[in-house]
Amino acid sequence: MTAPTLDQLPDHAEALPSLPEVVNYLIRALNDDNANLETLAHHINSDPAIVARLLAAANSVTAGLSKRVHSAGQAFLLLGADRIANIILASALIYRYDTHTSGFNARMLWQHSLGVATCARVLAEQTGVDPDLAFTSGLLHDIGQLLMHTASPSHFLQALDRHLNEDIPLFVAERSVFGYDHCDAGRILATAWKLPTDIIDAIAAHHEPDGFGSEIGNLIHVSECLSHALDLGELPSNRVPDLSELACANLGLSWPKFAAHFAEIEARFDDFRVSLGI
Amino acid sequence: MATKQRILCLAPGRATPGITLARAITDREGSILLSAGTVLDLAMLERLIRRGVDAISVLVPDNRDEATIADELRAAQRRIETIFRGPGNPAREQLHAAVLNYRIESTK
Repeated sequence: MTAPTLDQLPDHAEALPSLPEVVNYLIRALNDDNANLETLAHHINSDPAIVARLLAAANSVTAGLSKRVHSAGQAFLLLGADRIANIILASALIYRYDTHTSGFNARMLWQHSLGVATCARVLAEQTGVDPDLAFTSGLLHDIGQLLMHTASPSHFLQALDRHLNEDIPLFVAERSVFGYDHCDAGRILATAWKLPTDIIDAIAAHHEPDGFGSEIGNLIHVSECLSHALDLGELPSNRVPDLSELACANLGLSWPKFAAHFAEIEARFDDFRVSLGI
Repeated sequence: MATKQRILCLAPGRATPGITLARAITDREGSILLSAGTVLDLAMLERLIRRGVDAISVLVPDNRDEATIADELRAAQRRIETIFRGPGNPAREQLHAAVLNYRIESTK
């Protein structure tokens, strides 16, 4: 059987569960000055599963203080809206798209995505890019893999096998099996989900950003490489991909200087990972 | 003999009261919130979380002997060489150098 073509992917996108409503709200709020805490609190409180995960995460964030957080309101007061939004966004995605079959474990994808999102937020804080956009784009950058796996699990597993056995980048292995990669597939899924253009660009550009001229694309590409370099998630097959010189230059990045933030990135990633239980 | 100490970076919620700051904590404008050497109590840690401070550098006892440190350094260097295996472009080499240097300094 041949692999599904790029043109056929939009039909397969419908087979994936839709984005959780709270994720849609948080993504829309990125570009909306009128988004407010009350609406976010309403979205959170209307879903008991989200409240439960938020409280678990909030209690984990404050683990060293032996202080219990009992309500979403308390969590907001202690952690602030930005942290709450990050926790909700990540946990809603992780639990909605928790595919686990032999050979493909979405948890590993989300752990890597959380690593990229953490690097993206810190890089954004240092380079003047919107940190919330950076974090969200980092979390979503690999969603193309979910679509490719849904469209044809056997072909996706074949690409994963090639990636591991031949020690080649996954996107190169995908091209050899499907004729396109998860950046292309991610662009199609992000378009089907009506995500903002910035996030679509970040997803499409994250492995080869030079042709896109997108600031957020450059930032997510560098974050992808940095996350691998700091071994966030410690995948056994981890190998740092090639890094675009142009993307680094456009962001005004100097590694000897930015290295002062490596320890902070690791601390923030560990905190997040433990809080989310992944 | 004074106990040897090392610097760890962690989220304020993962620190326990009584721990000592290794580096000053500044806000986004660069003003010092707490100076190096401050012993953090519960109220300070809670305030740091509320202010959105995501990571702090603290001093922890270092009970490792020289042989253990040497083993850890070798393991860290081996891991870096593994994840940077194969040919890479110049930008990747610069990242490689920065991460290797960071790993060595933070393991010592």
